[in-house]
Amino acid sequence: MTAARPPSGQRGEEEELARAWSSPPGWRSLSAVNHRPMGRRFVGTAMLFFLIAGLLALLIRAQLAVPENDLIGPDAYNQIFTMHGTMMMFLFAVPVLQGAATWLIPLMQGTRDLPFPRLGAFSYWCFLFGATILVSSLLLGMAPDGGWFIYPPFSSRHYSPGPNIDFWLIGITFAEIAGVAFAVEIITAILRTRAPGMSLARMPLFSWFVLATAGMILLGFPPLILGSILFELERAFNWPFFDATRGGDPVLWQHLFWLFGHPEVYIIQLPALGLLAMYLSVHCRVPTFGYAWVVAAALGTAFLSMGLWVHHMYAVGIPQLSLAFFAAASTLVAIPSGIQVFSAIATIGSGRPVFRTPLLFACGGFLFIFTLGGLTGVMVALVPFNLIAHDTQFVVAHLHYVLVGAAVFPLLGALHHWWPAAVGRQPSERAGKWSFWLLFIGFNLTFFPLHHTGLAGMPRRVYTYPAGLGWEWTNLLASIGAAMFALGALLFLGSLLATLRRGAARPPDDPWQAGTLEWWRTPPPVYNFRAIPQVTERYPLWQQPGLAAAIGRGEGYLADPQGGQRLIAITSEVEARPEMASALPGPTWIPIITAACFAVLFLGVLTQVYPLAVLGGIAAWIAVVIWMWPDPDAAHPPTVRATAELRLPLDRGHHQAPGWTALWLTLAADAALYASLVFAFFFLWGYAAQWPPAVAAPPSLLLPALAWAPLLAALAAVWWGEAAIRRGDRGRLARACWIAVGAGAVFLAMQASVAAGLGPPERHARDALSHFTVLYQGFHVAVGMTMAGMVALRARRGDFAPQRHLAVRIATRFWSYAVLLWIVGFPLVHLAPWLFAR
Amino acid sequence: MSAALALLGPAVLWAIHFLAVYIFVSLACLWRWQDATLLGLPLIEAVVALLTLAFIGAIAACGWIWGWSDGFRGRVGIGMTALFAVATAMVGLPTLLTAACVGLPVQIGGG
Ligand code: HEM
Ligand SMILES: [Cu+2]
Repeated sequence: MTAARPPSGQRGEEEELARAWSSPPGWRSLSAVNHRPMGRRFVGTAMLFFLIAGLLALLIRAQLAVPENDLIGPDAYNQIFTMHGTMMMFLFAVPVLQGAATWLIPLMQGTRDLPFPRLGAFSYWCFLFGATILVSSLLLGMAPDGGWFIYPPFSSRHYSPGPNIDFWLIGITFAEIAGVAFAVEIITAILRTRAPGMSLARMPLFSWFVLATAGMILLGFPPLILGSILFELERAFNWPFFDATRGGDPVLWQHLFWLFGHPEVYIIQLPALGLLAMYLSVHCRVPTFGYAWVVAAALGTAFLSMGLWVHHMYAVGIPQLSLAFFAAASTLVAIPSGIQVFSAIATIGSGRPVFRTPLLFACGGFLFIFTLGGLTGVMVALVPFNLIAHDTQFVVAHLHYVLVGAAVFPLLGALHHWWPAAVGRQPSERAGKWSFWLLFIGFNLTFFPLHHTGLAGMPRRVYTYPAGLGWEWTNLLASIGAAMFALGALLFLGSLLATLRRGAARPPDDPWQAGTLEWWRTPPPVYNFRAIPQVTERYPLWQQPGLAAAIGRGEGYLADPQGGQRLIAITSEVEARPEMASALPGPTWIPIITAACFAVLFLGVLTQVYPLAVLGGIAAWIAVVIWMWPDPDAAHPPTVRATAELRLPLDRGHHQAPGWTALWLTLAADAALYASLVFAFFFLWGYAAQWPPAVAAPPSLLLPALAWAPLLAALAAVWWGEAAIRRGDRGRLARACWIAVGAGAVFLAMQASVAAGLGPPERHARDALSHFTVLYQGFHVAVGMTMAGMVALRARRGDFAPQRHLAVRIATRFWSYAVLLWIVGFPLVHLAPWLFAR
Repeated sequence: MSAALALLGPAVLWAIHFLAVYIFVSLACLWRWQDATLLGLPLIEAVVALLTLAFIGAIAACGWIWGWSDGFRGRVGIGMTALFAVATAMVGLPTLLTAACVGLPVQIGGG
């Protein structure tokens, strides 16, 4: 389906589009922000970590191949399995799917980029820097060694004095921030940038799965971010959050970790299943069976998975009733998972399947391997069985069946499937099939016997085992299987890379005859779409004949870049009606510089050179301010021509701009973190052994109560400023914002002296939590002050109008949120002696 | 807004119910209410049963309101209603089947 050649008048537009959207060559390409290079980098980097983590897995299997092996000593073994698990989960599985979504979502949704390209680039650099910090520990021989969930007290400073665990905490926090930034960006993209007419009911399934996943990231990552910060505070400054002798509780870490850790499994799995659903239907040449049910299953899984975390803690000794709750909820996820499996089977059954490589990966990997993992999942969800299988090789078998079946196999199938679109080369079917069978047989050979090894009693995380316990042959088989799996992985990736050589076969347009928009031309041009199409069906290329050719002729929205702008359409959430256009930023260094400043901050903490950390923090603050400072936009008219008949307003400063959506998403993530903090207070109150702290007299409430005055004054001031700009009074807006900045500063000063009176944070976990809450409040007020200050400066320069003052609206909402936080935080900190009495 | 309610209403109700039951039972056990009664019924079980019934009712109402809308929204709405009605029942049932407050690891207050 090659598009008809455009008439010559339009050729100019096409060249202008290509110029507007291309990224700079050579080393300057590091400043690229467009979703195509960022998606490729994410996937490529994650695959690199997959290989490194795979190499570690081979070391593990080599060591365990025979009993009493002395290839690797216990200390190295601890580091190796910890890094294998950590890298696979945090540096491969999540980022690779982030990359897939970054690359695919705009193409599938018929648009040209994500709504916040710089945020996407920032997310990538955070991930890369965090990952580099973590992986460097391997080279230094100081890798984390406490298992991928680094339980205290084993990983507390006392028992693990080296920097090993700090590498984990800091590297992972950095990568998690990348995840949250991605979630904000991709949810906004899915809700607000779909091609006109692509209503929710017409959205590709992948978008639904990524939407559900991103929601889980938004609520699931913050507990771990909080946990990691608390843990690092404990390790670095002796704040005893998890120390049972001073009012802390190691089980609190387990809760915070698994509040994240269980959703994490689905965060890995759902997007991969979304990819699978897409290409399954292509290779079966029918629409996905039961689209609406699959959507319900994805949303259902996302919700249910937030209520299961305790099933990783059955053996800890929690009340029986909690066990019953979580066992019940855990078995429930089998329902939505089952719906997805049955939908896949029905799609194959109702279609005319062509067994090319992707379909093999779907059937063998997902239908076979994942289903087996799901079945053992129901087994370990039941408490009595779990208590037997806990911490044995059975769990190792189970978790790999789930993760490899639901993430790795679907993903490899997806790589093969989208390779022609991504790089413009056709992958080899023969190599694909061979590697599938190697991977499939190798995988089962590795992990099936381990079910038996586990039931025969072999624990996980042991560096060797004695002969004569019946564990020899299964371990040997597993090691042989692992080698086979590695061979398959190398063949698979090698054959893909081999297509990059000069003169390899190029695919025709839409080589698989797919129905979704990313295939309108193969590979799609740098600007994705000549014109943003009008979508009327779920599978536009199947059901809207002539659409590809029409896009090629520039029929649709925003065909003309109108002065070399990077234009995309912003549409309404449900029906995808075009509402405005966005002129996106081109290549810029600010995301990488900002991420580098954060890296300095984190490195300062890691090396305990705190002045460096402070310096990094200040630099990061300056970088963010520069980033947020708007470009001079006088040159651009306030509206652009979308079609011959339709003009759309530009989103800059518009009250419903994507930034407005992003504000609420960011606050949701922030609130999830705060809720975890509140949970920590209540949990320790309920369960910590040493509680409450032995303090003579409750502290005075006078100064803390007085501090409300400046806080509320600041809030009133920003709202007064917003009222002023609604009447067009910029001068009063600026004055109001300066008042807010001043009042905020007074609040911070008062808080500092309040904190000094709180009692040393090293004394007791409650004191430490109080100090943390005060710091967290201070951080929010400082951010609010920054926003207000920027608004004031911009107002002085003549920015903002009665109908266009998004930055003001964001600042007022943020201040309201900060006050809300303190309404919750104040009693936690200052009424604690009464609230948390026992 | 109504689309969000149709798609997510049952799930959000389930989540609220889950938290309510979990927090209520935790606190009730902390405060040693296991022998308290309400109108002659054991208090903890009665409250959980009531909450569960109320929330299943609310979820069913969601399905009733949005399940009728045609096409995609109706079908997803019904799917979510069915799934989360069952899920809510599953969260409520354990309290009715096992004794609450057994096996607390830390004996609060008593030392
Ligand atoms: C396919 C090749 C793989 C092999 C041969 C392999 C092998 C292993 C082995 C033998 C262990 C147990 C170590 C022990 O308990 O002593 C392990 C642990 C683990 N693996 Fe894998 N693995 C593979 C792929 C993956 C993938 C793709 C993921 C995740 C996406 C993953 C995640 C984990 C995790 C989370 C652990 C637990 C680490 C811990 O105990 O802290 N593995 N792996
Ligand atoms: Cu889990």
